[in-house]
Amino acid sequence: MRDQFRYRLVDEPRAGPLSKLALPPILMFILATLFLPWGFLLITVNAIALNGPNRNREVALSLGALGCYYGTIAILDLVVGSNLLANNQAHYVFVAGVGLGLTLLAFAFVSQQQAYELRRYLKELGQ
Amino acid sequence: MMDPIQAAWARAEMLMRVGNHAAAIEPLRDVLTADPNDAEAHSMLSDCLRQSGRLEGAAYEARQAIALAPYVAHYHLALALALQMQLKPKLALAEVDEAITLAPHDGFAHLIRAKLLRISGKMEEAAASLNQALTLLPHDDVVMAERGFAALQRGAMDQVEASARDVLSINPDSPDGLTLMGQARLAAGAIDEALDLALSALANNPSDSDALSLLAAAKMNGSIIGGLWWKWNRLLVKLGQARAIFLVVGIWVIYRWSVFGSRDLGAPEIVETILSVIYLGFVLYTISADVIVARMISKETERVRLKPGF
Repeated sequence: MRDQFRYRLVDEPRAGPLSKLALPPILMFILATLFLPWGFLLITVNAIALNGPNRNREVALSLGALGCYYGTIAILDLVVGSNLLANNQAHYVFVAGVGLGLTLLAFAFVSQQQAYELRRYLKELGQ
Repeated sequence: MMDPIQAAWARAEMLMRVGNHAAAIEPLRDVLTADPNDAEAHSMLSDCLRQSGRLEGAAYEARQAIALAPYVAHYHLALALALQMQLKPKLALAEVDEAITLAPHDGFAHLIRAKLLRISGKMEEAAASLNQALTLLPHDDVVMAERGFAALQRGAMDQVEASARDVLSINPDSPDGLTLMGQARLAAGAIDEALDLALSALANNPSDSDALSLLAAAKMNGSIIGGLWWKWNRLLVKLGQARAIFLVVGIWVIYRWSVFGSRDLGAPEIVETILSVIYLGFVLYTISADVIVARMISKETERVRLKPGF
């Protein structure tokens, strides 16, 4: 029976035009953390390529991580500029902001990893 | 000649009977392609997906079955089991209660209620549900095994062993009975015996998570690398996905704060180096131990897989 007519399971990634470009999420996650903050976009691109069941959520989470990074910088700029926080204290807040971004990224990564593993498993089965 | 849909049903049932739930997914998909409104097929597919660790799909398929036939108790139980594995105990319990309302004399519904309550730490309520299950199914080995798992959670190892003996006297091949006996032997320090019992349980049901857990615990016992990893992994599993992520990112934040703190306090550079080495060591250990332990366990399961009938 042709694949598109078969009963579709909700957790399976759908084949898309970029499916072949999808890379292991662990590799993307490591690269993303090495090349902060634009590396976060690697997870976004991989989510689109993988086309998993939670693709939109993964895209939103990785963009949210980028927003967290620049949002923290913008807020700290204002706070330090108005002398509410010393420069060295701002470092601690910045790390917390990046940590929040990494948390969002980790959620995207876990979801992407599940879709990737499932895709690999289905490929092994020859589907 | 057999109708192709009937053949797919027969194949799915046979594969599920021998415990190969992952392979039963495809024939069930064939059944649902022919008739997407087959509630029983949705429910069976939910069981297979859950046993294969595909919890999102399992919950979805159980909901499909309920939407088609909301009055069938075991569809609610299928959803409850998927929700429980997704660490959503309140939602799972609501589904079990619904199943009990629909079928008050279903012993398995009371058994699942007892399991859920036990996992949530409500031991008294769990005991009451288990008694109900034992009244309805007095000679069922799976129900009796739950008494052993409750004792295991309380750490009462003599009761675990007694329960294991009761279960094995009814069904000598019971994976639950073998696992409970293995846990009792492990607590008594008989690691090889525990390992053999875990492998015997897996030979009877290759996807038994309790038996796999015992196998890993026995294998890790006495190994420094594996033992620490096992404890760390159990903690992360117990916390659930979200809390585990917060914990891991929290460790990174604390590490970075410690580096800044050491600079601000004017500590010698060696302090920063030590902190970095500790953090890097932790990361490398987590990654490498995961690989080492996975290989150790697959080596053991390979031994069982080579036995005829696995």
